[in-house]
Amino acid sequence: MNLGSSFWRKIVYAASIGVLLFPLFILGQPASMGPEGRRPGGKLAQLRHQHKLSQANLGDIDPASESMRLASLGMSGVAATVLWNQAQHYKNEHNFDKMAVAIKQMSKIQPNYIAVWDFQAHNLGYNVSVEFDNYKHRYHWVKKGIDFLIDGTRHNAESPKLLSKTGWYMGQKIGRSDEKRPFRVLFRNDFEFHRRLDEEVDVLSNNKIRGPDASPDNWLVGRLFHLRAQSLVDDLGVRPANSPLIFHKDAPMSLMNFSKAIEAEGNFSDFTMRAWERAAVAWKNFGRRQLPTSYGMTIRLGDDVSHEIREMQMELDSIAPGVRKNLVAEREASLTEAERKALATPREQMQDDMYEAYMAGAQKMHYSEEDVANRAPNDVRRKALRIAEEIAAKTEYASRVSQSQDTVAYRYWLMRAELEQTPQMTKARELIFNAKQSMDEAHLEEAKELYDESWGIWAKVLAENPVLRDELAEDDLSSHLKQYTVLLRQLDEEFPLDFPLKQFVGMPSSGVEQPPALPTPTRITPAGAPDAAPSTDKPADAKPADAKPADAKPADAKPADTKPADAKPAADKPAADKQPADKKPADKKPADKKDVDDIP
Amino acid sequence: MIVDYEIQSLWEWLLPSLGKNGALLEFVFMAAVICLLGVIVGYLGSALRHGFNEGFYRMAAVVVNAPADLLRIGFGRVLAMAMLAAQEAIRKKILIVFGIFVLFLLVAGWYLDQESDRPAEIYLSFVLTSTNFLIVVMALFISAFSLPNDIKNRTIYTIVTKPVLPSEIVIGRILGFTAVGTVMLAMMGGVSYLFVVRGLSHRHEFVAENAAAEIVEGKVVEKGKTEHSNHHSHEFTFDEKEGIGVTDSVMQHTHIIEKAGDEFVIAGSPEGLPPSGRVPHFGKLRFLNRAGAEGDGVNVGYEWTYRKYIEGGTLAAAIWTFDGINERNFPKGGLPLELNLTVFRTHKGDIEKTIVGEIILQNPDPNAAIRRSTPITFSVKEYQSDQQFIPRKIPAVRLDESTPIDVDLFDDLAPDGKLEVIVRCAERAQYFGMAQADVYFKASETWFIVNFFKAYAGIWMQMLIVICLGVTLSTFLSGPVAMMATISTLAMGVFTRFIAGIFGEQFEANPFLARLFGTVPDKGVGIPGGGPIESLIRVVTQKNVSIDLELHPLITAAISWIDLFLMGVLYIFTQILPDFRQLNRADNVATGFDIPMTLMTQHSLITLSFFVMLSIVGYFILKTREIAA
Repeated sequence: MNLGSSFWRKIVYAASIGVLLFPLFILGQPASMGPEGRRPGGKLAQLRHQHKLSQANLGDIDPASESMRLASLGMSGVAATVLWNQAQHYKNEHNFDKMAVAIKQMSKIQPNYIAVWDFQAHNLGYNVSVEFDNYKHRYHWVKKGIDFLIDGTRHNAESPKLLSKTGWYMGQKIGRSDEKRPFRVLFRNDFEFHRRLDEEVDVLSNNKIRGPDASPDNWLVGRLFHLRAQSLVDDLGVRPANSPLIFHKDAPMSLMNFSKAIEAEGNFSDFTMRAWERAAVAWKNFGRRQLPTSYGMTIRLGDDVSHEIREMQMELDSIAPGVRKNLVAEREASLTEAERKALATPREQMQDDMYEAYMAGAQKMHYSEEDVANRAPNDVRRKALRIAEEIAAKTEYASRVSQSQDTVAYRYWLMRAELEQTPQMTKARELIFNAKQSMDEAHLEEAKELYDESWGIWAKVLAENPVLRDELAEDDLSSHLKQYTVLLRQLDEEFPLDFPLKQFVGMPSSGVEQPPALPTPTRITPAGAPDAAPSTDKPADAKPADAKPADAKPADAKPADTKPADAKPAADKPAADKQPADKKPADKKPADKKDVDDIP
Repeated sequence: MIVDYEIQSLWEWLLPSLGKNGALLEFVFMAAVICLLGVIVGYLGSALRHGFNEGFYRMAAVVVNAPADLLRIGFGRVLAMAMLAAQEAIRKKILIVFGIFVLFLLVAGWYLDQESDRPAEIYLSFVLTSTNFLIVVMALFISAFSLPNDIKNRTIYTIVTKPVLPSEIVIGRILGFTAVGTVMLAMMGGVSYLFVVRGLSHRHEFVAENAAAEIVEGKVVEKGKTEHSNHHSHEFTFDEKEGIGVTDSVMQHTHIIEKAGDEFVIAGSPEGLPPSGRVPHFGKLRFLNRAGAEGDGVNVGYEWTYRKYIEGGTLAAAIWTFDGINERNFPKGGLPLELNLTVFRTHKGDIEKTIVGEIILQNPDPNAAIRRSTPITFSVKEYQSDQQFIPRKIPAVRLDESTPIDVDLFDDLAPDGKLEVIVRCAERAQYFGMAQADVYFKASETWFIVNFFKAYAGIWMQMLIVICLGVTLSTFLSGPVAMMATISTLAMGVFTRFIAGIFGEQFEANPFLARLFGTVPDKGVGIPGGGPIESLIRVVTQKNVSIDLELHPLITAAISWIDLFLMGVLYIFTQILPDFRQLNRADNVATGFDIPMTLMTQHSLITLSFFVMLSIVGYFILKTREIAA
């Protein structure tokens, strides 16, 4: 090898390096700010900007995090895995402080990995906290979980999931766990925590998040995080963490839970009634929100299209007079005697051997609006078919709305919030609360008097709101009735024969054994007669009549979800059948729309 | 602190006893094996170069001259060699390691969890771990590259042409590098000490509105809360009459409060930060089952089986038997008992109340006139040392009486120094969890600085062993290879238990070997998943450890035997190498437990034996290399 060839080889190497570096330069040129504005930089920088992947887009830039990632020399994934195992090891050994340190380091190494924040916050707030016997220590670790999530939200400014989780922990973990009583007290008096939270949401100067004792309440502070998560979805178009229905329900539900919680703690003042009022307003506003569904249509929970369906059916009947009647008559004529008998028998009186005939009969009687339209006179048939098509679309919409309502128990909570604001209901609850207090203090006679007084009001309330009966029973009345049973036993007394809730006692949902002295309970309906399908949000009962609009007797097809007069169905026009998901008319406040914060 | 091994007395550790060979015998055996291997390898090497006869004579000459050479080691020459090594190390700018350490400390605030409930553990773990890591890496670099570079650059001839023995070269280098490392370690230790003490030191302000006077047991006390600083605040009680107050324990510490005029002030540094070294007086734990018979504790379902549990409201009990309970060992007029129990609830009960238990002190002698004290009730404080001071005069019941009388703890309950501490859980269907090291008497306390020094001594020993390994390996390997070999040795030293666990599991799974030899000593917890070959197959085929390999039985058997051989070699090495984890006592300092002098002495003897053995091995290798040259 001579000097010349060596020299030329080096030149070739240098040229090759130069050539190869050029595309790298083109691709990797960083974005920068110049006098004429932002220079987009190379392709990689552009892609990063486009997909919001640069650190500044994702959230706060933490120098510790950045330097740790740099120091790991591209092995941050390996380091995070090692730390994950280490954290698990420390958890097994109940060395929770070291576990917390490992988790924190892990989050610094991979700060934009949402799963780490989510999973490990749950570890801290739920799994570790319960390992402590002292409730103060438990609370301390719940706070660590919340702090960890908040840290995650800072690093991931556009993650509604972490914000929503923070709200959830703040509400559910503090306000729903077995230790909720001491936890809520600790939270109210935790000024340092309030100060820290104030860096994220307005806690210190916000009177709307204060409970009856003027201290911040965990449910209301949690709601602020849910609202922040919602605003990300509404304003930036970020996808919610879970289904829009579930995601958007959390903020208004926080108000419900707050109202329930302060009532359970013995607050029965105007403040509590106003809290329920705010909850009702928020819930109605939730009902007005456009919610995309997995069926490809956008719905609003507050929509009630049954009226429109009925109108269109009437219109169809008017252009095809007598057709429906004839159709029904034909179908009825095709029924066998057994089928006719089965269809005429109320559901609860039906014998097992009648079901087959009932189903066959129901199938024969079933017809669609299209069947009616097809029999319309030739000159109006096209119009009839169009109306039938519209009815089918509306019916499908109603069905989706109803399913979603069932999922979040929309109607139940709406009615409950309306009911709980009434002085009558507040009084009933206050009496129960005082009775329980008296019982705990061994003032048994006084407790019985208070209970008896409350049962009268409860009976009245339940009679006026029969649709809420089972849910109220399961939710809280059952525990009071159990207490009352214990009280009677202590006083060596039986259930009185004229017990105001005698129809209720002994029902499985009440959780109270049937006293021998009382009659076996039966289900009651608003009309007081046995009813086949109670109209509540329970999935088992979720058979809204509007799902079968083409019933033999449309006039009877009174939708089970019809709102009571005071429920005031959403006055705004129902959403168009299939509006695109990105359309947000709900943002525009309707004239009659009341805001939560309008209530003092 | 988790203590999952037994600290033996020096003689128990050193000398053979029932079922144990003792460290001395093991050392002699290993030395003999190394000598034998050395002779065989040395002869083979010499025979390859010089033929069978000539090779034998040359090898024999080396062996025969060795004792004389080793005895002729001159202090002056070793010192000169050591100085040269130290100068070389400094010339290589190893002081930069100290700079890196200071940089670590400067940015530590970014990484350390300032809000941790155990700040001392975080601070101390950080400084001790980072020092350990940097010192070992430094030792590795300076020791592994020195001799090979000298040989490569032929600068070694400037030394070997002088009347210097190979042993002096090896020992001189080890000592020289150790001296530099020691200075470095001392500097790091000093800076670390200041960092920890200053980092943990803090004060709190007081706001007058946060305090209110109360009458407690006839005394006027002021109760209140300090201002929030350093991520915490304290509740305090101030005794007006005594003029002194104390805060509750938060983040491992309390404060003493005084009054200056009308204002409260914190007196001195936080109590318990940094933690002094408690000297625990451990006992032996046994259990009574729920029927009150000798039995075992219950596993409540935790994966970690370190702690066992006793059921409340039954006759189940945990009994610790202590020796040496006398006035000489506990001169403070009573017994400072410390409990680190945990609670497992099978039902929530009243969540706002802690679970109550009882302690009974009992004379182990069933015929003693005064058998046991009346129960002392206590509420469990988890994840902290619950300190119960048991006064010397305590109520107890005589066998023949029913009324409690005051008895003397040492004279009446523990006349021969033996005392049993019985712990029971008082609440039905709730459980107390405990391990042997969870209940002890605090015999005394060592100053934090002493314990801190002992931890640094542990790091120093690790450094010395690494330097010995590096220098010895570099006598016959090139620099990078010597470094890799030292790192491998270090890794084996750190993963001793892991290797024994894998080998033990495989060995015992092999029916032939298990029948022939039984179990593997020091196996610890068996680790499933096979050796290197099986693991590789599992990684590639994505089969977890609980799935069969699904290969032909002959292939599986072959893999198993190859893995056994490979792991067997590693296992033998781990039996020779020091357990580096044992030398690292950072946990003791961080959790506030004294590092026992017995342990320090054992570790010193291990380090010394490595120094001696590796120096001799290094001498022989260097001598052989000279012969070859």
